[in-house]
Amino acid sequence: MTFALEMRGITKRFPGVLANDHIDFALETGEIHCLLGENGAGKSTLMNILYGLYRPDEGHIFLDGREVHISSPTDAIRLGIGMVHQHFMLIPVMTVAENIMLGTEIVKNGFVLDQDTAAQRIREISHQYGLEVDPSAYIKDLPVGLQQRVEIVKALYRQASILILDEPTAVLIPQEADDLFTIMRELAKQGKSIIFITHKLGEVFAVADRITVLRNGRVVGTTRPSDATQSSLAAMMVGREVILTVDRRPAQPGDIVLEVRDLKVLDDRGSMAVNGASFEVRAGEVLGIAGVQGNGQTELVEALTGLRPTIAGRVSIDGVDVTNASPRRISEQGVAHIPEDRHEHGMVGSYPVADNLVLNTYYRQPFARGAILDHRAIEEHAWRLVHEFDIRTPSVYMPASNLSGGNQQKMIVAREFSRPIKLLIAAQPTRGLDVGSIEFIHKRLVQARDQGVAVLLVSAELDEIMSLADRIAVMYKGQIIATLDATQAERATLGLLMAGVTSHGA
Amino acid sequence: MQNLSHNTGSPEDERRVRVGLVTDVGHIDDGTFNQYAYEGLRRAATELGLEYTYIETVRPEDHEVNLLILIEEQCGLIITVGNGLGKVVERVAKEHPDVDFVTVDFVVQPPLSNVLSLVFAEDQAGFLAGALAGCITRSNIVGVVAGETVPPVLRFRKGFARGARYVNPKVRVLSEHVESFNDPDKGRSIALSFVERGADVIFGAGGRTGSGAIRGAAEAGAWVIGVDQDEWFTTFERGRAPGSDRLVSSAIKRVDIAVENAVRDWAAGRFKGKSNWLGSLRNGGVGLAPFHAAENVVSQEIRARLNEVTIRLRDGALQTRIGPAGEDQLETLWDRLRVWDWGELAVLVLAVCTALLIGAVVIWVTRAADLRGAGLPWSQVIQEANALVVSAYGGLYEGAIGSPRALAGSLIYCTPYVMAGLAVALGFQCGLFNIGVEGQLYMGALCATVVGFSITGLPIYVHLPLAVAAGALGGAVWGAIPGALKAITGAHEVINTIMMNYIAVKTVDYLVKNPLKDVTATLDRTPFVAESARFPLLVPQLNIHSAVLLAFAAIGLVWYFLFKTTWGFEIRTVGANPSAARYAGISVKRSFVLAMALSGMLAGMGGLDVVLGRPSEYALKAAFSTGFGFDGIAVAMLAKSHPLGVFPAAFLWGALRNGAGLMQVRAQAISIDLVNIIQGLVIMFIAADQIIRWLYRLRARGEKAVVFTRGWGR
Repeated sequence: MTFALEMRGITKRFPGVLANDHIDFALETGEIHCLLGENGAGKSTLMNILYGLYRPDEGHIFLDGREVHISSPTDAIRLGIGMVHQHFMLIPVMTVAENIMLGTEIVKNGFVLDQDTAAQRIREISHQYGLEVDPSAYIKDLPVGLQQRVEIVKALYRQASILILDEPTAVLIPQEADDLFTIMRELAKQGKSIIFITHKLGEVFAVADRITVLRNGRVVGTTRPSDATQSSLAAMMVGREVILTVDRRPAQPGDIVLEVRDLKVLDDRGSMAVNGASFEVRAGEVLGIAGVQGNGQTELVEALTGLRPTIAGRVSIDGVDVTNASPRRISEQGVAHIPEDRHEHGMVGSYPVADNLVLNTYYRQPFARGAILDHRAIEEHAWRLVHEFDIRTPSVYMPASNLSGGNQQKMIVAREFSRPIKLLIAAQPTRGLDVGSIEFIHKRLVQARDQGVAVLLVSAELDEIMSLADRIAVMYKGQIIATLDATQAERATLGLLMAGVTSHGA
Repeated sequence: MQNLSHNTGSPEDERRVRVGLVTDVGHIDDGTFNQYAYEGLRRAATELGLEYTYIETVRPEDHEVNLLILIEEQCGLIITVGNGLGKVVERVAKEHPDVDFVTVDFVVQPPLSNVLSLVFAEDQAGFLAGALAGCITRSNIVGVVAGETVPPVLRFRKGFARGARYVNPKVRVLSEHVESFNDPDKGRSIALSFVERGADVIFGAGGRTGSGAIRGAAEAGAWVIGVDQDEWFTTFERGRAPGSDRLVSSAIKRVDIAVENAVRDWAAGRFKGKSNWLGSLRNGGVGLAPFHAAENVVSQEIRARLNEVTIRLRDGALQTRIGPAGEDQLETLWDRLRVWDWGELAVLVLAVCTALLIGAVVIWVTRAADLRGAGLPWSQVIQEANALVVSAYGGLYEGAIGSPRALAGSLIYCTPYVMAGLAVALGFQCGLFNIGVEGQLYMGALCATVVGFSITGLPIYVHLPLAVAAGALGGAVWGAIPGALKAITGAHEVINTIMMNYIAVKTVDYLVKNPLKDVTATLDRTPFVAESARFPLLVPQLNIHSAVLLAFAAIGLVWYFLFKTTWGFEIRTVGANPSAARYAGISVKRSFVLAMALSGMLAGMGGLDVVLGRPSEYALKAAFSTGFGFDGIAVAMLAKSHPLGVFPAAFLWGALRNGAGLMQVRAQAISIDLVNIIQGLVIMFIAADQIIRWLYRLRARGEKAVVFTRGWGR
C-alpha cells in the first residue's frame, strides 16, 4: 500500500551527535500518528527535515509513493505539508485573515489585497472542520487556544494534507486540549493525516491511531494505543522501567513556614500581576499553585524570592517579615528557589558546573575564607553533588551551557538542596525535561517534603500539580481563587477554576 | 619457565618449588596482613604440595637480611608483606633475576620482570567504611587512627574521610597518623582523645596501632571499624574480647586470596612479572566485613545506602578520587584544558595573521600601482613590490623585537597598554563598557604628578608609593562616578564615561597651561616631579623603568582578584548573567561601582606610569597620552577580557607601534599609518569573528547540536 508520507532511512548528523539514525517512519492517510520521545530523541530534527529546514545526510522521503526532495519550507508547503510550531508564527497586531493570507496573498486589480475572498475561504475552512474563528479579529485579542486554531487554519488554507503539530498542548488548559483533540479527530476523518509530536503519555491515548517512539535518534518501535500502556510507552521512551506515579505518604503538615497576606505585585508593564494573593505553606506539605501561564505566577514567585518589589501586603517566613527583603536575606532564611527560567536566572551558562553549584553559597564557609575562594572545596563539593544527583558531565569544569536541559536542571536542584532549607519554591521545575529527569526531580521534591521542608510548587502542568501537591491553590488573574485539598480535587473542577469559573460550594 | 625447570637437574628442581615469605614487622598470627598473607600461602602450598617457609621480621633493619636468607635457602618465590619491604625488594630483585617475588602493598618502580605487585584499592574499602560511619554517627564527628604515612594507609584514611562526607556532608573527620604499626598504646590514647572530642565512630587503620585504637574506643563505648581483615575474629577474639559488640565492621583487603592466587599461578607457570594486580570492589579484593554483633545497629536503610555506594564505586560511576600514592586526585590541568574552547584562541591568532597578510597586500598593491603608473614593466614592478613588503615587515620586526633595544622599547611602550587593557577588561568582566579609561588615565596622571612635584624631601620609598596611591585614587574616583550613576540612576556608563573623558582631558589641559604650568619651561607642562617620585630605572641604558614591574604585578593581581576572590566572583557573575547574579543574591549595583572604581584605578596607574616612569616625561604635558585609553579597548578585546591575555595583546600593540618607526625608515614609500590599518583590521576581525571563522572554516561555538551529555537512563 502507499502511505501519505513515508520517510526511509533518514539520517542526520550534527557535530558530535547522531540526531537521526536511519529512521523509518510511515504515515497513513487519515490517521493521527503520534511521535513520542524525550527531548533530544530526534523528533524535532526529523520534523524539521520533513519541513525542509534541514537536509538529511541520508534517506528518502516519499509522498503518496512518489519520492520528493524538500529543500525549504516553501517546498514543504507546496507539497501539502503544514506545520504548527510550538511557538506561534503570528503577528499580534494583524487580523486573523491578514495573518492567514500572509505569504499567499490574493490580489485583485494587480495590487489590491482581496481580503474578502480570503475571509470567505477562511470561513469555509472553519465551517468544514469545525474550527470556528473570526477572520476579522486581531490576534492579540485572542486566547492562546484560538491562536493555535488560527495556525491550523493557516495550514489548511495553504491546502496542507499533512499536518505536523509540535507539542500543541503545552500552552493549553485541559478543556482547550480536549477541544483540540476533537478538531484533530475531525480533520483525520476528513482525510487529513496528522503527525502529533508530544512527550505527554496521557494525550497519546486520547487521540492517537498509531504511535512511533524515538529514542537517541532511532525508532524504538511503532505500536497502537490498544497494544500499549502508559508504562510500556514510558519504558520505550526512556529505555528502562519508569515509575510514573509519585510514591508518597500522606503529608504531615507542621507549623506555617511561608505566610503570604494580601500580596500585590506589578508586572514589567506596571499592571497588577498579583492582586491581593493570600496563602500559607506549612512545613512538610506541598502547596501546588495551578493556573494557566500568565496569571501572575511568575511575578508571585519573583516577589517571594526578592527579585521583584511588592507594592502591598506581607510575606513572612517562619514568622520573620521578609517583605521586599533582598534575595540574599531571603535565601539565608533557608529558602531554596528553583527558578522558572533556568537559563535566565538559574545558572551562568559560561561558568563551569562547579561554580554554578556554589552560585549562591560561594561567599560562605567552606567555599570562601574571608574574601578568598577555596577552589578545592568548591571542586570537592561539585564532585559530591555531581555524583549524588547524577549530573552527567565529563568534568565539573565543563561550562554549564554544554549540558543537556535535564542535567542543567539537576545541577540547579542539586545546588538548592545542598544547603539546609526550610522552604523550597519550585517554579515550573520540570518544564522541557525528559521523563527520566522529571521522575528524578519529583522524587527529590517529595523527599524534601518528607524531611519537613515546606514546598511551594508552581506549575502549568496540571498532572504535575495533581500528583505532587497536598493542597492545590488555583491562581487566576493575580488572585488565589480557590484552595482545595488534593485528595478531593478533580481534574474537571480544576480546569474550570483555571479558566476563572468559580461555582459556589467548590 | 618454571615448567621447564621441573625437568632439569634435581637441585634446580628443589630450588624452584620452595616458597618463602617475609613478614612486615610482626608475626604470622598477629591478626594483620602478615597473618593473612601467610594463610594464603599456606593454603596454596598445602594443596599443591609445595614446600614453604617464612621469616618473621622483628626490626625494619632486618628486612634485607631476611630476604637474603630466603634466597640462600633456595626459595624460588618470595612473598614480601608490607610497604616497608618494598625498597629492599626493588634492590634485591634486580640482583637475583632467577628468583621471583610477590610484593604485597608495594609497587616496584620501574617494574621488574621477576616481580609481581599485589595492591589494593584501600580507598574504596575506606570509602565504604567512611560511608558506614557517616550513616551511623549521631554526633557527626568520626575519627581515624592511622598508621605510618605510607600510600595504603593514606588511601584508607582519605577514602574514609571522603566516604563519610559523601553520605553525610555535615560530618567532621578527625584523623591522626602514628608513625608505627606496632604501637597499640599510642593508638589507644589517640582514639580515646577523639572520643573525648565527641567522635562516636573510630576507624583504626594501621596494623596493631589501629587495633589498639579500636579496642580502646570500643571499651569507651564508641562504634569502631577495623581494617585489613575482619577484626572481629582477630582483635576482638571472635567476640570474646570486651567491646566486641561495638565493632560495626571492618574495611578488608583480601590479602589471603591475592597471595593464594599468586602462588597458584606461579606454581602453574603463569607467573606474571612486571605487572600489578589490583584488588578492588570489582574483583572482590576489597570490601566490608560482616556486621557481626552490631547487626542491629545497621538498619535496612543504611544497608541499602551502602549497597548503592558499593555498586556505584564498583561500576566506576562514583570515584574516590584518591591516587595510587594516596594523593588527592582532583581535576588535573589537562582535565581543565580539555574543556577549553581552543577555537577561540585560533580565531585570535588567525585574526592577527590575516591582518598582517592584508597589510602586506596593501603595501604590495600601492607600490605596484605607483610603479605601473610610472610605466615600469611588470617583471620589475613585481620584484620591487615584493622587495618593499620584505623590507617593510623586516623593519617592523627589527624595530619591534629585533634587538635588545627594540625589545626594551616595545616593553616600555606596552606598559600603559597593559594597564589600560586591564582596566577595560575588568569592566568587560562585569559587563560594563568603560570607554572612560582615557579620562581616568589623565586624572591618575594628574594626581600623581601633583603629589610628585609639590612634595619634596621625602625618601623614595615613601614618596613614590604616595604618588602612585594618589594617581590610583584619582583614577578610581573618576571611574567610580559613572559606576555610581549607573547603579543609582541607571544612566548608561558608555555615555557618562565619554563625557567624563572630555572633562578630564580639558581639565588637565587647563591646569597644565595655567595654574600648574612650569613657568621656566617653553613647553606647556607641569614642573618635573621630584627625583623621589620617579620609578627607578632597572636597566638605565635601555630606559627600562620599574613601572614595568608594576604592570606585571597588576596582571597577576587582577587575575587573582577576578578568579580567586568572592568579589571577583561577584563581578564576573554580574558580567556573565546579571539576572542569575541577582537570583544568587549578589548586589549588582555594588558590583557595578566596585568594578568601575577598580577599572578607573588601573587606568589611573596606566597614566602615572607614563609620567613617573619614562625619562622622556617626568612631568605632565597637556597631551601626554597617545590614546592609550582607547587602545586599551582594543587590547582588552584582543585579550578576550582575560587578564592573562592582556600581556600578549598589549605587547603586540606596543611592538607594532614601536616597530613602526623603523619600518618607515626601511621602506620609505609607505606610511607609518600602515600599523594603524593592521591594528584596525585585527580588531575588526575579532569583533566580527564570523569573518575569520568563515575564511578558515572554523566551526562556530554554541551550536545547538554540540551537547556533550544528554539523556538519562544510559
